[in-house]
Amino acid sequence: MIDANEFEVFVKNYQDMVYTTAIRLVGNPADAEDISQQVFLKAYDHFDDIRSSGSTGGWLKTVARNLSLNHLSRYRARWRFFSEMNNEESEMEYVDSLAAPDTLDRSLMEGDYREMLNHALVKLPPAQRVPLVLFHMENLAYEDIAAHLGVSLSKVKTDIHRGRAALKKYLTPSLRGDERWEEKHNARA
Amino acid sequence: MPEPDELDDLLDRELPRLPMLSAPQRLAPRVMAAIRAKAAAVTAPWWLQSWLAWPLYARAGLFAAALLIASIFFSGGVLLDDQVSRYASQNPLANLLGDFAAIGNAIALLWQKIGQPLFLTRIVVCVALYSVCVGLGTVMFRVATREKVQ
Repeated sequence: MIDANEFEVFVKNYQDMVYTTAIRLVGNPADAEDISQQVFLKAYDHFDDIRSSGSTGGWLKTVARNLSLNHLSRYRARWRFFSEMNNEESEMEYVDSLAAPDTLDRSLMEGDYREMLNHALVKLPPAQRVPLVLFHMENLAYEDIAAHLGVSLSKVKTDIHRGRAALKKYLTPSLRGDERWEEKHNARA
Repeated sequence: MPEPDELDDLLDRELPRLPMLSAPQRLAPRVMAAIRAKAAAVTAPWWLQSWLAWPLYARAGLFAAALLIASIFFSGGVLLDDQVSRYASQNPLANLLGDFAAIGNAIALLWQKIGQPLFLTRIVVCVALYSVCVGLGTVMFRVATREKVQ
């Protein structure tokens, strides 16, 4: 019999990690919350095995990733259709649609690129965000990403390249006004 | 202005190190509530659970009862042979079953003559309307995106 209080503590310890994994892949807070709930329900079913395991975090991350990809695969035909309609102009619109750095909260303006990146990453179009997250954060190889998503290797590389280009375009205006960045850049020059 | 490769280095360095996002406060209570509901469902008597959790004999019994009711309604007259008819004249319950059989035959006749053609027509209309919606939606999306690009 699993102690409810013990499991609730377990949920609170890992909920940020599970939720972050889900929302970075599915891009939608409500869906990420549903997926996170499913992850913990599975964890409950296997709690006796995983609670004493040293790879609890890895297990939860893997389940969150798989459930997120399953969720996306149900809508893959829809977002793949839209991603193929996208072109360079649409990527520019993505950058423009994000709040300009000078309109963001002051805490973000204090050179915290990570917060800006977090914000921009979740807003990327799914076709770019998913392979980018799987590559940089889930540490999957290109081939594994292609296999998971059911697309070609070249499409994975193209989408990751486009996602990085979009993030770079978003970051550039904010870095221009960053004193630390300017100091470092001028020192090199 | 930052060089492109500096931005590449920044992305390579920072993306794997991005901080976690905070889960909503309601997630943990939601999970615990779902676990409690699941536990309650498992401990409930079988007839209060979903049909899939019923024991095999209960499912078989329900299936047999459904077949019996369906056969009485749709072919009641056929089931009543002479002997049963004689029994029916003496037994009020059997008379009632005979009435149900007559009603069942009438419903079956109505279905054949009117219900089925209407039902099929409705199916065809629904499929046609759905196809129109999908087609119009696709055309509108293509027009809208083509205008944006121009």
